[in-house]
Amino acid sequence: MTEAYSNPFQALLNEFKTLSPETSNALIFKNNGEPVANTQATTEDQTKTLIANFGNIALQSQALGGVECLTIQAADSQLNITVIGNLYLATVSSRAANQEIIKSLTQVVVPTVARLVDQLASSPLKNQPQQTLQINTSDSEETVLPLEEEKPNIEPIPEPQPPFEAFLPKTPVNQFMVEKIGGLLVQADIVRIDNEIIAKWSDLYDGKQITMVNIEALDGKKTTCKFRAIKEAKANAKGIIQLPEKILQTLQTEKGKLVMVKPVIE
Amino acid sequence: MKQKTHVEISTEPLESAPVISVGEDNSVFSSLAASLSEIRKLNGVIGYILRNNTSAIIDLTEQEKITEWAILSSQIFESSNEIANQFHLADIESLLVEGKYVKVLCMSLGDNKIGIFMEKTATHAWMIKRILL
Repeated sequence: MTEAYSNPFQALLNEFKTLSPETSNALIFKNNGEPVANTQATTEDQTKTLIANFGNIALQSQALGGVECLTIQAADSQLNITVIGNLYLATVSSRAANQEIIKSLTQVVVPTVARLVDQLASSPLKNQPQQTLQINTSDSEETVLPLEEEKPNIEPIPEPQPPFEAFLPKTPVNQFMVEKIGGLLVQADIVRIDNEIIAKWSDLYDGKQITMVNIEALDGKKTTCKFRAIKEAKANAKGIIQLPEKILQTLQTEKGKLVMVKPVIE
Repeated sequence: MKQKTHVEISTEPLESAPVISVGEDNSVFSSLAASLSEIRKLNGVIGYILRNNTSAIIDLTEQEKITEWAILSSQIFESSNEIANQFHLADIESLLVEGKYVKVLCMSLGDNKIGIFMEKTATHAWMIKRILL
């Protein structure tokens, strides 16, 4: 992440103190957990704890359709985390604070800055200084081509698309219960997944073909493999993943254990 | 289909283990259960989980999501608590996690932990008041 990207956010958070003195902490981080900017009062420990714990909630929130907002309301103060495109903004403020100002900052000003920064980042050519075309004006008798013909052929730069539309949805992580699958016709490197979840992924990515999944056991062991839908359309196939022996061994898991599965989006 | 499960967990404490007194807690639990069954009837409310150290009531429309939502509400309590400690937020009143389609309101009253699942359009503010009454 470049300073050019984070500086506008840092400058904006620095102004929070003036615009909303009741906001004691503010922090912006990416959806991959990378901090972007924070107010001076926010310590490194606070940043780490907030991002890690928010990540833990997000990991379990597929049933809600991902996390768009988290609010912790305490007796005198409240902590709020809201999604802004591929960023999250966290603020800690007094409950006595003017909520209109906080809303303006968190729901209008920061998202607008985020949109502008993304637009600038996606069109770096526009930021470069214009190249000056130097014409050789020597007295030699060389034929000087007309200026128009020396102009470089510059293709018009297409208008950047709004960044929020360009982002793919956040990769869903689903939790499945392991079942063992065996037999002569079972391929050792293909897992079988609840058909309903596959349909949801397909909807989420607008019909994009997904062929591979990342599987992670609760102890952190991971593997990537192909998948297919569970053949039997039985009701108790919901939330089930069928793993062949080889993959069970790779993940060091067994029947009845839970695994986290997310589609590989290329 | 609506699934209502009332689980009474009885434990046989070890001789050395502290004995949990449930007398007063149970009255709070019963009172919360009554409030939640009222809240459950509201439009947009998908269900709730109420639990303490000895009892649990789970009333959720989607039976297949019981485990998923129980894990989620538990994670919300645990992670929010750590965040709150780090930012010195005292006396947590409520926790709200909003997803794309559904939101969950979590509250903790003593040992009793509540998770109310509802559609995003449902109004949660007065539920907090109702429970804190």
